Amino acid sequence: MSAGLAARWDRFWDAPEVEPARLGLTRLLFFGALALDTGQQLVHAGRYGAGRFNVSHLPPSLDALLPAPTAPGILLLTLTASMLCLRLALGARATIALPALAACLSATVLWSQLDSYQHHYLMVLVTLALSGAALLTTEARRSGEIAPWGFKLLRVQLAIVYAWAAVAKLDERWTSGVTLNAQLQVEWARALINSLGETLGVAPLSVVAAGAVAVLLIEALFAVAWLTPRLWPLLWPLGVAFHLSVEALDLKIGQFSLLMITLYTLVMPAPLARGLGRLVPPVEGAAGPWAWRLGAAILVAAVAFGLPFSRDLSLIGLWALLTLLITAPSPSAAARAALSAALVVGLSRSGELARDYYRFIGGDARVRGELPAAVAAYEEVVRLDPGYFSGRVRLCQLLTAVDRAQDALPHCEEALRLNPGQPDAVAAEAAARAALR
Amino acid sequence: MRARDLFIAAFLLSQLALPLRWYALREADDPFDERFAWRMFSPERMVRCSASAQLNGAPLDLGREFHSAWLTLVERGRMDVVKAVARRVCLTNPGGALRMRLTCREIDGVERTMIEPTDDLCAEAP
Repeated sequence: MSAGLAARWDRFWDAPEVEPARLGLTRLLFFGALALDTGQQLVHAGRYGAGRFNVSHLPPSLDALLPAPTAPGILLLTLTASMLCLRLALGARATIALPALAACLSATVLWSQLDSYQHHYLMVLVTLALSGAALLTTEARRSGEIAPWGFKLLRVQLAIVYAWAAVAKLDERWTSGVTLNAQLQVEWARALINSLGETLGVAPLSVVAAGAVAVLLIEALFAVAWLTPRLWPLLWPLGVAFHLSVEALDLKIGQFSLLMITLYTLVMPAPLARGLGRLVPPVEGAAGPWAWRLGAAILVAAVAFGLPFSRDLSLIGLWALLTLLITAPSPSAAARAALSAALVVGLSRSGELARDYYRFIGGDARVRGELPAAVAAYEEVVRLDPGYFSGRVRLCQLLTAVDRAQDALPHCEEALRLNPGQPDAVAAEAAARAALR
Repeated sequence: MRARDLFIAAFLLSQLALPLRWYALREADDPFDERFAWRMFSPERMVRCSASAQLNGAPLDLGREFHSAWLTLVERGRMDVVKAVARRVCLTNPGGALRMRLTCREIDGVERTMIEPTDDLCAEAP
């Protein structure tokens, strides 16, 4: 590297951040959103390891050396990643927490092609980039912060993503509108396209084609703008609006839009970032009585017992160990650790996430003829949601099929109490009674 | 060069090289695998494939052997997965003959046969 180029390289990466409030706010919002996205993935953990079949993202020669992932293993990594995200959002020292998070996410994403979501791959890259910035700078290791160059690296990374996304659209099948047209399914968008087409006197596909070309140009503009601070006042509103519109169009990309919008905090107008930055919890200090750390670990382990899954001591042990390693010895850090664990427990108990984790395991095992495994999974479904009609019926059918009709009957009876006369439940009960004769 | 600089350089090089691989080095018989290439909403993503298999001359229901999530990847023409599925069937049925047909329809209506049922995939397996 020539001396001039090396000096410019150093100047770019070493220059102080123009508006440091953006970095703290990005940390809070991004890791908060990532905790939600990661936590919601637990429902997909059940698909891993079915039939001990797997294809990883590694080259085939290395793939053969990897053991197949298991559903409980991926569940452990997913829940741990979610907990670590919350810890980082709430100010945990990054030195250990961030590389641990990057390891969890890398393992869940790269271990199997079942996770081929581009935004999950992007999140792996983001956490790896920030891990480098937490580990490779003496000052960052001392303070527990993420060195500012890590966030600069993210800006460059995002510019690269937009540049490649634009390159991918230099394709007649995109610019003609055919590809976008096939992906636009929401009613309001179709109505808007038809109405615009009528007003302009052109075919709806021409309207979509104009939109497709606009998307290409916008992505190319974003690629340049992420690297040009002068354009950030334009980039932030445009970028947020772009990703909100992608979300509104329901293009089946999970939480990609939300995560991207939080990353746009890196180019947020400075006064807004400074104002919102006051909400950011400070990074935890390193000094204090060690007993707080132990107390936090015990508290987190106790909270982890509230997870709705079959008791998993390895997960509880891992959470306690990580808490010992990443939590500052102070009462506020202990409280943040307990809060993070409690939020993950709350998320996993919310809605139907945990129930569906077992339901998907049971459904797959049933289809592949692994009936004892299907019974075990559906017993968990019913434990978690006793009033779930379909779960009761399925468990009744499965227990009958494995010669446990006596155990099956109460589930059929409960199903019929929930939904009297429902044909599937009636048939399942009749089959169970016939098996008892 | 400091560790930080090496890290940044390796990181950025990987982000330039991995997507480039799709454009410059992708295999002709595996056109729909866009992993790591940042090809969001691409035409290839919209491909729909249908697979059928016969083991020793009898129809083989892949849905009874593999999780539906894997079959979704087969239906997207992901050849790594298709080949792994074939390898697994051959491994669990020693001496068997596996024939598959995999036909993919692209967004512009072009239909492409990725695997012809003429060859015994178990005989081809290493």
